Amino acid sequence: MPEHSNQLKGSQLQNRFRKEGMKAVVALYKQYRNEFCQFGQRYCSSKELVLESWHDAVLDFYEIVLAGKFDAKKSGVKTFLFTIGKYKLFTKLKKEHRNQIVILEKDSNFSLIDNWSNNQQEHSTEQAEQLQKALKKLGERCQQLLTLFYYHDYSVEAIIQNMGYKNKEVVYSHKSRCIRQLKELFEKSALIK
Amino acid sequence: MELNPEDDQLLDSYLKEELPQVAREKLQKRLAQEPVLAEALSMRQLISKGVKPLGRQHLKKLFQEADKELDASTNSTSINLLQSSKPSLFPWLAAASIAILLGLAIWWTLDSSTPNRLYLAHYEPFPNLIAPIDKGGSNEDVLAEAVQAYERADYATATQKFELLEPIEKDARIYYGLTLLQSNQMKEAIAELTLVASDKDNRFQQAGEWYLVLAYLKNKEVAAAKIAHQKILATPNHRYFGKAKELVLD
Repeated sequence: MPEHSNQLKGSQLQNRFRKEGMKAVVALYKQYRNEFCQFGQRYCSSKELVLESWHDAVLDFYEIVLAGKFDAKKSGVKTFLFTIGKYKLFTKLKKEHRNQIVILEKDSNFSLIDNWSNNQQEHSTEQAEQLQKALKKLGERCQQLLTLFYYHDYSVEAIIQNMGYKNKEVVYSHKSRCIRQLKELFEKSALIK
Repeated sequence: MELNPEDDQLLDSYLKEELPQVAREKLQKRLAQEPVLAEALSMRQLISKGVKPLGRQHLKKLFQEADKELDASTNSTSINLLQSSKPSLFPWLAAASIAILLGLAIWWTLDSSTPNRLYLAHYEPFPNLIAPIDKGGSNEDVLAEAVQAYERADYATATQKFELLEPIEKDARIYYGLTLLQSNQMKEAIAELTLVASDKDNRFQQAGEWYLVLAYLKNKEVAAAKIAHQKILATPNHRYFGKAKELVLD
């Protein structure tokens, strides 16, 4: 992803992710990765921990953008990403007690990230966990289709291009079939339980 | 009970918060009255949560691959720098270069008919016929920068610039396809060139067909290359007919 991505509006970035998905997010990851490593190593000497924080930061950012919660008027892409990365790094340092005096600076972006992380934790219900198990029993193509559709939020056109479907109708009929199979697996596992 | 395709799409748009107010309210009323529809929605909501770990896991793998790639390129740069400061390595480097040249010569002789060799022998850069000098809109500037970067073979910059354009103009798609081809992003290059080749309204459609043949060759998809090649040969007034005749695919 080019340097200009820093000036993209939230909705433009959202569109790009929905159209190009993983390719775009990996490009974004690569674009700032080395710079973030240098930045992170100001706070922590472990490159692994800094990289883990960067992974989590880009993943959270991706989801925030897809959910339409990123407001480019408040901060640029890079600033926002580095803020999440810093937050992730500090949280990890705190957990590992590597640094007893970690003070989170006041930053308006922190509250958004905090809310986002808490919200995500609430979502990992027992039902969702059961569904994850059922998902793993689905065929690879169904797993891929449902992930592209419901996690990456790909447009149908992008799915056609990525998975080689003939047209929109085929995508929807295959998706229905996958959901039906998943539902059956899910209900079976619920009965067993 | 099976959900009909219209309702399926309606539920997805609702989940993605894409429905206009009126349609949303209408659907909410139906959800209150139709248990099958309500159940289908909650299943989809559950899937949205359930696929998250799978999606994240897959992306993490891609990030780890990117880490390896970036670390390798950083390491090779440092190795090159170290080597350049040690003159005593010169004889070894010279010997290695001779060995590589010899190897290449042998490979060239023995391997002259491989798809990649055919690609190299027949690939010529497609000229920049569109780079607008007009500095009117910002999109046009980026397009001009993209095509100019392509022209000077700076494919990394060209890719970045093209990615800024949404959507890419019809006539510029071939340059994006060739940029991807030169960047070895084969799957994407073939997809892009297929779009150009199948679009009768694209002024570079025939060029698209020719470069698609070459892209297939570069990607060692000989059967697909042959089909695309035959298509050109079957059209005597094709702009690339002469070039296609020079290319022999057994």
